Amino acid sequence: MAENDNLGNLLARRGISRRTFLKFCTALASSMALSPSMVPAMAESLAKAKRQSVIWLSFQECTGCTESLTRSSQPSIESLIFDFISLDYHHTLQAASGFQAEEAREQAMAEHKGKYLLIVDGSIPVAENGVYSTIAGMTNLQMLEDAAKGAMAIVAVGTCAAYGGLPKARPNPTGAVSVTDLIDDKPIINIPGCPPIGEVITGVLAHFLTFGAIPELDTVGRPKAFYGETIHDRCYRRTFYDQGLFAETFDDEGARKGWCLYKLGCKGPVTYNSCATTKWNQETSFPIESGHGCIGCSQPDFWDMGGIYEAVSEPLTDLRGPAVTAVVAGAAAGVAVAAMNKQSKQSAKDRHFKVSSETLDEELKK
Amino acid sequence: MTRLQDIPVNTEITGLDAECNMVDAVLHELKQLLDAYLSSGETGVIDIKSMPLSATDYDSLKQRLGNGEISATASLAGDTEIYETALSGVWWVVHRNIDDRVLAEQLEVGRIPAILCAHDDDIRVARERL
Ligand code: SF4
Repeated sequence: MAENDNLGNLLARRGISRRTFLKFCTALASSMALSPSMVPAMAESLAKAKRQSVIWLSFQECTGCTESLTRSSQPSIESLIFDFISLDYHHTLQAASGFQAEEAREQAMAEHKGKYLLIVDGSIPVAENGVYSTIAGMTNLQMLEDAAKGAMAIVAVGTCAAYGGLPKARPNPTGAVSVTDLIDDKPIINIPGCPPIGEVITGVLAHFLTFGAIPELDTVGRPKAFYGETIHDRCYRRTFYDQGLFAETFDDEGARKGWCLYKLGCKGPVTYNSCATTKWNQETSFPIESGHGCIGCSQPDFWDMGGIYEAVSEPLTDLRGPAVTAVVAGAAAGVAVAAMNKQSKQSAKDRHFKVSSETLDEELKK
Repeated sequence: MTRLQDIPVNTEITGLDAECNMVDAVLHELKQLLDAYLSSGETGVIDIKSMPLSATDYDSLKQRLGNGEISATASLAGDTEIYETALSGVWWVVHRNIDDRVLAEQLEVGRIPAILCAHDDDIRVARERL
């Protein structure tokens, strides 16, 4: 595909009509909570969008973020956008390897200086000068600093890149940090989640291509369109929370009746993400629909937020935002549980929990 | 062993329906959109999918709006169903993907839903093909 090619031409070559494209954009706008009246203009602008050079760096990560992105259903706006960007470096997906791969990265960085979008997944270890993770003899730290210089903007995909994630969990042996901890002179969009929802990743890319600017972000760098509400705000079990009807164990009557999972440790009330509306696996369901509480994977430091099966009692990490009030001012029943839980444990912040099936059993016996 | 579908899951929104009264809110918005169309020709859209409509709300909205004279199905990488409600100029549009999953659902106000109109780029391609 030529450098100055646009998305409209790609559509024509693929035999995708502009009607179909309008439909894709309608779905995209709906998922991004954009006003539906903007859709025709958005489709026009996106069709004229030029190919965007993207350099994708993977550091301390598990590749789940890439999996999430590449598993979106076909044909869809996600797959189209993904085919449309010029992915100049992605060490899992590119055909080149070794020196050739690194050369491709350097070439793209030089050719598109100041114009490429840098996507990062994985945290960056900084202990011992970053030796815990290297690629082609270069530490992640060096590679990020190098690539960030010429980037137009940076997208930190996944909780590891956004906030440090699992590698940063206490005691953080590698000194893992997030992209924002290291880079402060570029616009950075955080798309947290372990992994983030594929549609959210491409939604943000589509937004960038359409408007040529980064979307509106919350105080921890997340696009408000996808992270503006808590899971609890849009949870279909919310009516049971409000009525004070809770499952007490995973196999009691309440669990069978689909009651609220708050007492079983659901972190929905303090977790900002769009799982409850966008859902997973081609919109099949989200964890709470499978009977398990939300684990809060899109929140900073969620691994150290106390036990997965402990009810949320107070903000255990910097939660920032209205969810805190939502929990505090929540239905009387919820508050009572919170208070009970607060008494029964010491400050969870200072403890490190190992969650195993035994822990779960113990939690449930309480 | 009990099968998943045998486990009763009660997810009905109880007692909240009457208070939410989402249907009235939608009808009210439709009134405004129709006013806007009649005074300035400006078309409007309501995104139904992103609204917290309960199943009861949804059914009653469908019932209140009824069916009009026109219905169409467009094959656009999955079916898109369009029908005019009993209110002329108010269209119900459901976009599905190839797996039949609902991608977007909207009420559109105007002469004809945008999705039914051919795009100039496609018309140009058509001309070239002749
Ligand atoms: S606590 Fe969890 S399960 Fe209960 S309503 Fe909130 S998000 Fe849903």
